[in-house]
Amino acid sequence: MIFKFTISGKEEQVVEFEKELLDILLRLTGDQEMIAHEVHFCVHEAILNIIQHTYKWDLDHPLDIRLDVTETDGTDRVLEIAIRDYGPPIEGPIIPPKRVDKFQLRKRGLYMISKIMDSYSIESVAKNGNVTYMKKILKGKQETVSPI
Amino acid sequence: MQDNKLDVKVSIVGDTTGIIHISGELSVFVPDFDLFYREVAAYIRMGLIQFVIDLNGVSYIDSSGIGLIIKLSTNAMRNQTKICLICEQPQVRRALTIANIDRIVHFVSGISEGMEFYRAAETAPTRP
Repeated sequence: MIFKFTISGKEEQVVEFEKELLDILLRLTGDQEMIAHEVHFCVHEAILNIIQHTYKWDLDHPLDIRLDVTETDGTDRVLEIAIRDYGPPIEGPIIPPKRVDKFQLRKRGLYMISKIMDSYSIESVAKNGNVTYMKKILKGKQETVSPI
Repeated sequence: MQDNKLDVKVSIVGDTTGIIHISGELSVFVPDFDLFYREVAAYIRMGLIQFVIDLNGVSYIDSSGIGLIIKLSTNAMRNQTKICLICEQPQVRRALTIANIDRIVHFVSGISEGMEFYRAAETAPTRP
């Protein structure tokens, strides 16, 4: 299953997208509701990172978001999320901290994403833009969900 | 994020304690978040140190909301205390745990338990 969205960074578009995202995630994760909320949190943080650091709060730039859901062995599913931005390419690899200081403010969002997701990376794409990639293995049997 | 609303009620007890009831979404995308952040900074400048924060009405928190909690906690830590959080909402509690916030705050079940925490700290014997 593939879900594709294109939004800008404007509040109303982000809010509308995140409502739809949570709905999809809740149906994907079935009775594991907490996982849906955790993944939702990660997507929110990834979008926030792009708007803050790449788009510098210029909310008119687009974001292409793609969710891929594939089955592994009949019970587990792999959820892959790619968020494409069109800002300046990142200069080097962004590595989430392995731990954060108790009162540290910076990079806590990255740290949290790396703790929740099974895989997380940000890579530049040619001269224009970056792709934030996240992967989560959804364990066990979940409900079926149809692309919207 | 679902409602994109933030509602905050603050009451001040004595010279150093604030009680904050928050409902809605504690996220940078909520229009009133920035105002609330500046309000909190003003309370700290006023000399408030101890805060009992009721998050039971919060449906969503992001890293900006967590940053706000850390700001209050840092201020409390500088004054040898902790802030008290009331948080029964599982998703919000989980986010705070993943962020390691549970190590720097004191979770309580209600306002009265939070106030008791500060009263007990005031009456505790100090080491010479």
